[in-house]
Amino acid sequence: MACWNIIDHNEFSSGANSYTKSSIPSSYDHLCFIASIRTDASGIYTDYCEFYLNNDSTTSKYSHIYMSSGIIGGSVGTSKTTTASATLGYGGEVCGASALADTFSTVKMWIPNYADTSNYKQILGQIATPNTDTTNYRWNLYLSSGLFLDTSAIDQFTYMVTGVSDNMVQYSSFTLYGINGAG
Amino acid sequence: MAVIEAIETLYLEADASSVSFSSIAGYEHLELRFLVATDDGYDWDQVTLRFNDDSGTNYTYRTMYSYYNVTSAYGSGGAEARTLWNTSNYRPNSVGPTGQGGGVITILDYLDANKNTSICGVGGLNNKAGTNRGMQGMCTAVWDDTSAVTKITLIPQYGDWIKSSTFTLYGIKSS
Repeated sequence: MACWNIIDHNEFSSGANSYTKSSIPSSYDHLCFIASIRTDASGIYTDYCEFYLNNDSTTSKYSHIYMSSGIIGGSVGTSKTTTASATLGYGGEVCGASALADTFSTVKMWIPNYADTSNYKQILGQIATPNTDTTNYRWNLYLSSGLFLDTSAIDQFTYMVTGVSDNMVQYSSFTLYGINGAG
Repeated sequence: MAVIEAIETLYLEADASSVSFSSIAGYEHLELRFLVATDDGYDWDQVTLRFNDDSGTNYTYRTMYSYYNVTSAYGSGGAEARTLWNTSNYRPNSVGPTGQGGGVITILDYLDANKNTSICGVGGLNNKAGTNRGMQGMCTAVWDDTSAVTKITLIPQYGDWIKSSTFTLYGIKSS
């Protein structure tokens, strides 16, 4: 049995606010989402993104904590939400229109045991937004851990730019992998 | 056909000033895994990357790291992309040849001529005792060039890679 399996791959031919993969089969052990993303947000260097699962946008079902940095020589920050927050799953901040031209962020997310129906789901993220600009917060690094407070198996994944008028630009690419363990 | 394949593993039988991967076409993404040490005598230094033999000042890098009770970030630009840390086997507190630093670096859409090459990595090291002996963190870098990546060279920030350092490049497909 193959260890890594391609569930979906999409490279945008034009801008769109979100990427969604529905009807995710439950036959794998884990999910891995890998994306190369830039947005068209004017005047923005790092653009806030979110994700949600199973087409469920109930913000009280999402919680996250992350460590991040966007300041050279500065301390590393942390942030967390409780389930009372008004946000979906935390998707990091990716290159906006003011970031270095032709530069895209790297987004990696793991959802272990996504098809389990007994437990809430963890989402582990690495988001890297490079830039040549050294001004604070015009680049960013994030390590995040999220929780989806729902025991349903995950069969749909959506990654989106928070600003509804912002789009992820052409050539942004998204691949969702299903990962198997041994046996 | 496997989605992820090991393109090449380089295991050093002798010290080397750099290593390169050059037969890398045919995938959507690349993932570089390494376990390395150098002979420079510092507590730690960084693994640096260069693409397509470009030694111009076309790289910008950022790292977020912690050691002892310190958390901070570092970054600059230069003729190579500094990434994660390795260790020296010549430090007094080193555990010797086994005291290597490890990391994983992802290079997305490396063949896409519409994008600069961006990388993202995590890794660290632990070099036995002392407040400055261990370190871990996350890095990113951008090569300000939209050319397809055809060659990746890994160079120690200082000194040489010592023998037994190991580098493996994986290719990840999307179809």
